[in-house]
Amino acid sequence: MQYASSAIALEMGTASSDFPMDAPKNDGMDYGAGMCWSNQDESCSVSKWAISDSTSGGVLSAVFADSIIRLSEFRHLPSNWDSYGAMPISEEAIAASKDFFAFLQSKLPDLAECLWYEQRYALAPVATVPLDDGGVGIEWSLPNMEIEISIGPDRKIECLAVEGTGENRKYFEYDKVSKEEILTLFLKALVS
Amino acid sequence: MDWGKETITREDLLYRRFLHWHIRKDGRLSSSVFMNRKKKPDSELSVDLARLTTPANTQAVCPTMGVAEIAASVPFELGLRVEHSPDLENNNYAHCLIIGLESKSQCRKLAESARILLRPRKLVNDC
Repeated sequence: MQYASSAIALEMGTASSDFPMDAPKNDGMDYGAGMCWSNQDESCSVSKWAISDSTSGGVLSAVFADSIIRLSEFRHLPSNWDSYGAMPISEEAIAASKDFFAFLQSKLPDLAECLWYEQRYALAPVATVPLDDGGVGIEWSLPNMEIEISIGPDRKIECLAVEGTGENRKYFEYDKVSKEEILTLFLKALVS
Repeated sequence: MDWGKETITREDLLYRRFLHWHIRKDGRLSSSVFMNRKKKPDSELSVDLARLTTPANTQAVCPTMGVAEIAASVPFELGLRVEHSPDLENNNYAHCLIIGLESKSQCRKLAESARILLRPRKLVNDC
């Protein structure tokens, strides 16, 4: 896991018995601002240390860091980077993508405090890709929904939301969608 | 040379090149592998007909890229056309076009059905 410049403190040596397996999120115990307890088996490894983040925005910086690094790589793509005639990635699309991450970072911290540890990292995109028209695509796999956005070279955003699995999968497309409308989808995916 | 045209059937397989960024963290291919946003409407997506070439030949156009395979039945079931369209300029007789892509969900369904044959490398050549 790569971390950005957020304040992360490690406290070694905490015994697993110090942390009840079924601790609710708001039980009055001070696990640190960034600590959430999971009921899943892999959480036992977390018992050795606590993560304290001075700002929940710092945690979100970490989940978006990989994508932001990719955006800087896209600047160097030449014409025909995909061998099928793709255009170079526009600075407008890259800037709009960064704006979108900043928007999420500004809107989601309060929600991030209420999420289990692994749910926060579900906010990390599963893909950040260049698009052949010079735009940028970003994809998320959230607990109840998959979301894909395409940011065009003109900064216009299109969105695809996928709910359900297998035969029951449903696809919802949105043209010229706003950041706020996409945020609504995120909230629906994380809270429902 | 007079290149005839093949008829593409549901049993055919198609190849499409992609970059390392197009592999999602969950191992699936990004929908963007099957997008052609440059040309709307009646978007045409270039692929190679598997029975007229090899994955290595498809990859050789840009050796750092990967190759994905998809059954022709998938675009047919989405209501798309798949036509043999030999690329004379690049001497590629296996070249075909998936015609009629209009929506992100179609691209998504193509990606969900595709499988990776050859993995890409993390270098980007000027292809």
